[in-house]
Amino acid sequence: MMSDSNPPTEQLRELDCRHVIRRLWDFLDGRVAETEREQIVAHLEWCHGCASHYQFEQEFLSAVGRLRRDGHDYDALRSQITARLSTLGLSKDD
Amino acid sequence: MVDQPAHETTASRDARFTTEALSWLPEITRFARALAGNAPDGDDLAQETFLRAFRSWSSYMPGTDCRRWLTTICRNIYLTRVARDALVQPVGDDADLDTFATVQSRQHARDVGVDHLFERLELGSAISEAIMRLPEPYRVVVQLVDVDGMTYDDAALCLDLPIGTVRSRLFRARRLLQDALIDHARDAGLSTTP
Repeated sequence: MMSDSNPPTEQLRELDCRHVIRRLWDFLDGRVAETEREQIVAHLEWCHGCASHYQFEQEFLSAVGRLRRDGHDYDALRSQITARLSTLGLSKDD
Repeated sequence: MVDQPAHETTASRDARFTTEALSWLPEITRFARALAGNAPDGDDLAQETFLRAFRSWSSYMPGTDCRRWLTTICRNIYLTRVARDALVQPVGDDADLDTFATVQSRQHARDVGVDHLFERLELGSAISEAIMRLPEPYRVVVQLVDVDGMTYDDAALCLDLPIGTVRSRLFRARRLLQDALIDHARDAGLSTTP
């Protein structure tokens, strides 16, 4: 699956595409050790196939993460909860 | 353990609750919706969470992770509403298989001309709906980690799961989500392939 013709270093040869794909989400989630992270980064710079897949996954995670800024209006729910809380004794003037 | 201030006034207590607990309303509501699988039941669950949190506010230790405390309350309420067995349904968790399967998902995306699907900004509602259609064990994990940015460790604590299970469920959720969104894009005519 290594898809580029640039001659890889010995270290990059050792880290094959299968390993990179298997570890890609751990890599994207920041859950690989520094040495392995550097190896994957180096591999992605060299291997267009894995880099392309990396980009696809990164865009996917970014798209999902954008839901955090969902623009949903929580004011109505907040008012409802605050009203219920006031019956339990929460003072309203804070 | 940090004790509650013995001299704390009601106003001070309420101000702390508003500042520390109610500020997490969006995150807790999204989590509750993910648990419940729909917005109305999720909002009801979120409301119950804050009511219970307020009643138990004296047991909250200032300086600890309030969001995690609230998330745990929310989950506990949910668990009392449904049978525990319904939550811990057997799921096949194989992180490696799911990671490799995404290569096929991407190939499928390329085949149907939606390879750059996730660059599209208008995909938000489709993603939200696809998350809600995931089985509960997957949607809660993807909601906590991928949407709300919680760490694996915190999600594991909130859900009372081993970190490895959080990881494998997350990877399965991502794959299921990708497949659903690729199908959605194809059906919605978002393909760039003639």
